[in-house]
Amino acid sequence: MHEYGITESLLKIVEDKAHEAGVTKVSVIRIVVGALTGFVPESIQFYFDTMCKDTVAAGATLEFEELPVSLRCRSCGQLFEPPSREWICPACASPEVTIEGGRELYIKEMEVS
Amino acid sequence: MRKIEIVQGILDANEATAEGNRALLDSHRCLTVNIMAAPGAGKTSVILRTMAGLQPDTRIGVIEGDVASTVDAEKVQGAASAVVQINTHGMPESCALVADMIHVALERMPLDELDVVLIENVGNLLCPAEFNLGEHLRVVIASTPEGDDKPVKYAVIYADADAVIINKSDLTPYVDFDMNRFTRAVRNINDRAVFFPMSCKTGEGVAEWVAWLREKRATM
Repeated sequence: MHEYGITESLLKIVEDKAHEAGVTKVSVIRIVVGALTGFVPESIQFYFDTMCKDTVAAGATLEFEELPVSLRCRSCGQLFEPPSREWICPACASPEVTIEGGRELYIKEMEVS
Repeated sequence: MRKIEIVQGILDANEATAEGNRALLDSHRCLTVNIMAAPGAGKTSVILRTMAGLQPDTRIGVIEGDVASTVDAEKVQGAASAVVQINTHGMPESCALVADMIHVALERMPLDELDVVLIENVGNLLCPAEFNLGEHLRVVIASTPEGDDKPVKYAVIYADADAVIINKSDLTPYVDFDMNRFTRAVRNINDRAVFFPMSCKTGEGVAEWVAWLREKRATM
């Protein structure tokens, strides 16, 4: 699946940032993943455990924060988080929406020493 | 122990490469179409029909993404001005094309001699949705035997589509596919996609789709 390349990109960013900040060890990496992305945290962790050896992030823990699906109603403008896959505006019952959130994939922060 | 705030998108590098691809394609005025679908929906058949419809006055390049074989590339070889095959097997991303692969493929294509580039993505409705390739148009092919509920299950790929081809329309009488329910499901999450019911078997709907592509090429 596509987590291998994602994990490579992740590690590259972590190494660059660690280098910029002059740190020698990264112990925790916090990653934000939207609920609509196809990315599987367990897969990222799996690849990361192999790739991180011999890097500044060797043995680091990955912590994932999942962001919910967030939709905006195209009829009345209401922003809402649907409780299920039934994407219906709670204010006006319109099913016509724009996806506002849930597609994120970014590194939020890391703990270093 | 201290914290460093980062807030950097993990797909930023792919986005940057995609922007480079787009700039290159713009400079050569090559209309580039990213064609995505589940396996068996008819990506290669649509590409063959599209080439036949656009030719002889349009010069077409095809980038074939496939997990392993060259079957699809061989099918389009005779008709296209240039074909580049990308086998994703063994690459970091085996389930979708990513911008880097397109960058390499474009270096192998005579872009000055092409008007349209058709990219056949890997058969999959999840992974290709995540990667911008630098294309001008994102097109999803649905096929009637898949059922009319797929836009609900695979919302992201449908939400980003500029056009949706509904292939195998000739099979509609035999399968559970309600065209209105399908188009409504797409419309609920996408207010701009253009629909093209089509049958690569009979040729129904191909002319409308080809006319739309021609117009997109003419106005770019």
